[in-house]
Amino acid sequence: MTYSPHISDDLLSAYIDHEISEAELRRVEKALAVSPSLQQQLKSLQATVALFQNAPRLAVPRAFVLSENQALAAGGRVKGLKRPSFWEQWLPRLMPAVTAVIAVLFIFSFTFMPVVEKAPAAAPSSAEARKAVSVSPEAATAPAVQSLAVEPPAPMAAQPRAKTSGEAPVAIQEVTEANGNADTSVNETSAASAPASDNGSSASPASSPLTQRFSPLSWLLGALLLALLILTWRISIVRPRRQ
Amino acid sequence: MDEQQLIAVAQNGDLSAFNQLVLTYQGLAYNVAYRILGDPDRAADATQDAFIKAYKALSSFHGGSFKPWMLRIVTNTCYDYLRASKRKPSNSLDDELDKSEYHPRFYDPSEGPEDYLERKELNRIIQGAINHLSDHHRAVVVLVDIQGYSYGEAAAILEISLGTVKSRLSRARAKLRDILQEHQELLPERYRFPIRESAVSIRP
Repeated sequence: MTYSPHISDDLLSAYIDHEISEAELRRVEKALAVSPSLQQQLKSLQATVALFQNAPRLAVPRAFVLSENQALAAGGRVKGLKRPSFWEQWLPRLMPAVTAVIAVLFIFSFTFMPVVEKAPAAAPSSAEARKAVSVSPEAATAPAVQSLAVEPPAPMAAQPRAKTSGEAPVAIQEVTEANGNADTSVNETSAASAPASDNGSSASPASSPLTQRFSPLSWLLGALLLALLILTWRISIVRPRRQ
Repeated sequence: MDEQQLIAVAQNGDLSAFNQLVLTYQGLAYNVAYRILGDPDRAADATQDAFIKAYKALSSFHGGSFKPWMLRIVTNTCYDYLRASKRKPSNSLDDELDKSEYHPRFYDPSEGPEDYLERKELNRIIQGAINHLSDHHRAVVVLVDIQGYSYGEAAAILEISLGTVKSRLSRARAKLRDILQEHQELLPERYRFPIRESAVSIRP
């Protein structure tokens, strides 16, 4: 918007602040002398400027001085202080994440990885397999085995499985493991697998259920997890609290 | 120790020397940030960020006046905050007035209740109107009209030409005038726009 053919908004605004040349000053004053509307516009602009020139000032809410940590964190240099190295800065943040990853891997290895157990080199005889299966129903607290036994006819059901290879003893052994309190089953299962050991098999009938659930990888991850938990506690929790 | 000596010492890593500069300019920096951002808390955050940036960039300061250099960092930090918030302009001044609550940390605690109320209302109107301006326009208004810098100083702080300062200031003032004219009844009497056309202006 232009107030007169020669006076622009910019010029009128600069006139208020004395930010114009002598020639521009004469031109503005000449136009003002003959133009009441321009005078009115000037007064309204002056009132606006006066209002903002009297804007209240705020007191600062706090001192904005920098602490040494702020200065160092910003990448600045502070005399007498060493900037923390990359590892000093990031290790406390990385440790919990690494520990969490190892913990997940550990749980994964414990829960989902199959228990690796070598099959016996020589399959037990079908008579032994039958014995193992026929003993199972005696374990009153083993419902899974009971269900095997009630399948009519139980020996007939076990027969083909025993013929295939060493699968039958392993399968039955796993069932009995699930019912560790069934002493009879365990004993009979051990008896069933004993010949396999005698034949030079690497199966470990003497190992406990706990050791059989943990693979070497699980042991390794477990030890690593324990070490990381201790380190994380020291690096990410204890040390920052001291600082 | 004068300002140039403080700067030189601070450039060598003396944090306490830099903090003396902070104490000197924190009031100015905070008020500029408050007027540009329109919010006391965000202004405090922006001011703190600006001083941290200034300390980091102190090695790049090669003499001259520290104040415009510092204010340039403050205004640029405020621009960053405005961009980050992606604030949407409200449709009415009333909305802006509601947002720009009067802050209890104004100077002059000895004023009476009437003066206090007038200043409270005045501040709400001023900040509400500023919030209607674009980022660049409000920075010019804050520096020239509120902080009293010359066009040349504002141009140096904002790193723009003198002509751009003139142009932005003129447009900003025209917009502020239009906003305030619609809300004359809210203004204290002495700031209301004159209605007598016979009052011929003279050079201020």
